[in-house]
Amino acid sequence: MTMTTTRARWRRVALAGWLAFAACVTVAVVRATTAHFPQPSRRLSDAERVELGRVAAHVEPAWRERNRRSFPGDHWSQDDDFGAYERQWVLGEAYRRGVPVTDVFGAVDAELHSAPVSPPRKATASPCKPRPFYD
Amino acid sequence: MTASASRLLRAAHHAASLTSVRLALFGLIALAACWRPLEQAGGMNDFRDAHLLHSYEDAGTRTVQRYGQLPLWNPWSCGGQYALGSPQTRVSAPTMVLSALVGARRAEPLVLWAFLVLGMEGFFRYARRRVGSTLGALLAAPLFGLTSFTALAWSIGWLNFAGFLLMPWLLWGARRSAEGKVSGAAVVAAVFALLLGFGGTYPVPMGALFVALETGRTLYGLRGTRRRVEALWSLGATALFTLGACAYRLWPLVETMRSSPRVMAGTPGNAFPALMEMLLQLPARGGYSDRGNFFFAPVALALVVVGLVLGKRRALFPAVVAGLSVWMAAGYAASPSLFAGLRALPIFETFRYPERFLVPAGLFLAELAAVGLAVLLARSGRRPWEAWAAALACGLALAGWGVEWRAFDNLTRWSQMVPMPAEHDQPFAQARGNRWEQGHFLALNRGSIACGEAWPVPMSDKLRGDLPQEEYLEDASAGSARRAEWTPNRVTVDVDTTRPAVLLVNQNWHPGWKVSEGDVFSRDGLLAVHLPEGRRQVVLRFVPRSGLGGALVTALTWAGLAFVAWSTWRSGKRLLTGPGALGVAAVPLVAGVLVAQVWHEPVATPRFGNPDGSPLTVPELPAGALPVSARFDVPVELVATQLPPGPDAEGLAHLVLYWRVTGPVPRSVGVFVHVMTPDGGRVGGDHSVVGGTWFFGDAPRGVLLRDAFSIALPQATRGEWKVLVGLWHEGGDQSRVTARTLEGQEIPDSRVPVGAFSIPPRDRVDESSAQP
Repeated sequence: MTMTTTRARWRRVALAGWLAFAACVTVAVVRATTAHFPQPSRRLSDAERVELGRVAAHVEPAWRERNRRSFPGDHWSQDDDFGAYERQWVLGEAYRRGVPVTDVFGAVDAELHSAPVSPPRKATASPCKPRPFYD
Repeated sequence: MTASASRLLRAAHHAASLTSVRLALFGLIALAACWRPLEQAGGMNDFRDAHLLHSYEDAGTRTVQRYGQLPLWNPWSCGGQYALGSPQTRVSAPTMVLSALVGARRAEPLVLWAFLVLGMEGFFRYARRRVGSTLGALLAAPLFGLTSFTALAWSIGWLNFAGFLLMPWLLWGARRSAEGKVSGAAVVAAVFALLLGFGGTYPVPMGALFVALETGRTLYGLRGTRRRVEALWSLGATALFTLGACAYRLWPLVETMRSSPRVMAGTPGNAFPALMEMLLQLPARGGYSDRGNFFFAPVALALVVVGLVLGKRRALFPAVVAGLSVWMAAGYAASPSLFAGLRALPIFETFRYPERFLVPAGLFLAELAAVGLAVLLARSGRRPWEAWAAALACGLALAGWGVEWRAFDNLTRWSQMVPMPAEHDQPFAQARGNRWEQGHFLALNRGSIACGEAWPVPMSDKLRGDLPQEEYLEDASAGSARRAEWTPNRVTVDVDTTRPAVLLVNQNWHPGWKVSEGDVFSRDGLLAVHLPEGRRQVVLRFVPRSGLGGALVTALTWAGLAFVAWSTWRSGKRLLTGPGALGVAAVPLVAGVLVAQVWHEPVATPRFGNPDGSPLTVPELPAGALPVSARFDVPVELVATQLPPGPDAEGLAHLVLYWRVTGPVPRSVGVFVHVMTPDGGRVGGDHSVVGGTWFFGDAPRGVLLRDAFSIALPQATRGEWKVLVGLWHEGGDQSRVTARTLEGQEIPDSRVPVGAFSIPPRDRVDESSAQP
């Protein structure tokens, strides 16, 4: 086999390498852009939205009390703990009603924006102050 | 070895030297590893950290796609934050372009795939130079590239940790730079800049550490003083070029961290068996555990052993550095602790997880495996059994790929993917929000005030999630304000006032906000504008000096590097190895200093507070404080206390201690608080960080520190509750620090009695109350 033939063969190998790499890129892009996650088909009705907002407002004071006892004197942790309670409730409601989680959060937000909120409820969250210990 | 086997080996070596073939191979391996993440593209990761971190990318993407602006200000997170100054955002990395093209969620697995390919190619280039075998480097590359921590990071939304995969590029670039090659300097500068833009909170400082070690190794390997001096010039210029290339992100970060320093306490540690489980045990397919989070295929350890035994000098450096990495990963569980020493350095003091040093440990183990392969492949032509040994080694490497792929795939199954949130088309407003599910709020076009960052984001406590309009006059009777246009970086408001007034915007203030009329300022941390009376349109623009100034420095740096490359190419002389390049590299930095001098911008001063929101420093003792005046055998004085008359309606006792620090205090010193119950029991209120903010050693000297904290009393036992306070070496041998009176007399048990409160018979905890 001559040197020229060998070179030509390696050039073909190199070209095949680029084509294979381009194929990998294509597969990755196609797979990423065509992947599909089905959304819940049902959405919250206006009446359900108002009802959920009211329920969330009703349960908030009890959660706040628990948050204060769990993290005495630590306002950010209290609010963060509240967020964890709210999350559980929202996910549960969304699952129970078969609606997007976003809709339930939207209902809570709409209720908060419907009128100024007064204590023991809160329409704000304490500035972020991460705890210094994690271990 | 037979002639055909010999030909096959030569062909494999040749094929491995072809970039296209390598990339095709690595692309295929990465595709197999990313198969599941690619299948889940477009879904929303429901893990809490993913909500926080992905929201940054989502916000940046929306800013680019919908408003045609650069992602400088992020109004959707924490009441508004400087996107470039937030360490974990990826919005300033080139990967943002991909997010803007295909959407932030669909871009993530593609970025993961690209980083895997880059990681393997980088390792190949680094290892080929170090071990001297193309095929050995190729076979070992996936052993590092498929490191399972990347899969874990993907699963829980920490895509920014994929930056670890670029570490070999840094080491490769550092070596080439020391050899006087401009490409080396460019690679080091580019990779550090990319990692910083990609939110590499760990990869950047750790990368710097290992670059320093690699530089030492390279300098040691150079022969002759002249070459070493040239290398030092070159490395100096590379350091300056890197600083300049990173300026677009580094300047905002430094500025932000100075105004909001992060305290990381604790003594995290991992026992050796636990580290081995993390490194060598196959991770489970579900559930969270530490096992296998840094998996390195045990089957490949045979190659590591071969490398150690036969590799001689080539194996020395990776063996030592792998050992150092494991020692570092042990954290405070090792004695002496290398990690504790590292944490004494700036930047590294915020490191929280020592086990992440197992990623570089894996890199150097892979290098040792490459050494083992190189040795066996080099000997394969001598005797038949050595040929078989080489074939077996190649088989082991391939088996290692398979096992690591399995570990990677197992960890990608941990992701909690849910459908992408449904979009709601409505004007932007702040919501109370929820950091645990923050991704949903962007879809609602709502900012989440609730913020769960790892650092104290500068936030106003006046932000509200129930306002009828986001831009309003502080004194509503002074006139009216109406939003005319809203974009992330620009807000336009039509204002009509009958007298001078303050316009408030329901977002955090930042020095980068500028206004077309009036004076922009911070009203309790809220974005505010002083306006004269009259009708006008007020335009607020976010134009941060650090972001734009830093970008200018970065642009000039790349122009400088291009100039050095061009001069080298034109003259044939290595400009990088002399003082000239250092001068060129310094020019952009000088320009940056000039920008900082000429462009005046207010300074965001840190606001230090207790966890209850009260100020951490006070000018003098308040009226109700009870002087104590106890001293300790460290330069700390307990000046006074403020005790409540009793617990509040919810059984919480709110206490305040006033401290003064007068000199350097060891970081180990913390506060212990013993509240003695009337029946002889004890309730603790220990804390090693004053006000959740400062170790005593970091606190300002000579200032009155107001350390407020609360204790939940387990039961409202009637009688007198005595409070005793002292200092102890909480982070050390846990011994108490001797306490003394002002006259120097030792206080018994080094516990200072600071007072008492009492619970009278009828003052019981009212469990039904919801009032704070």
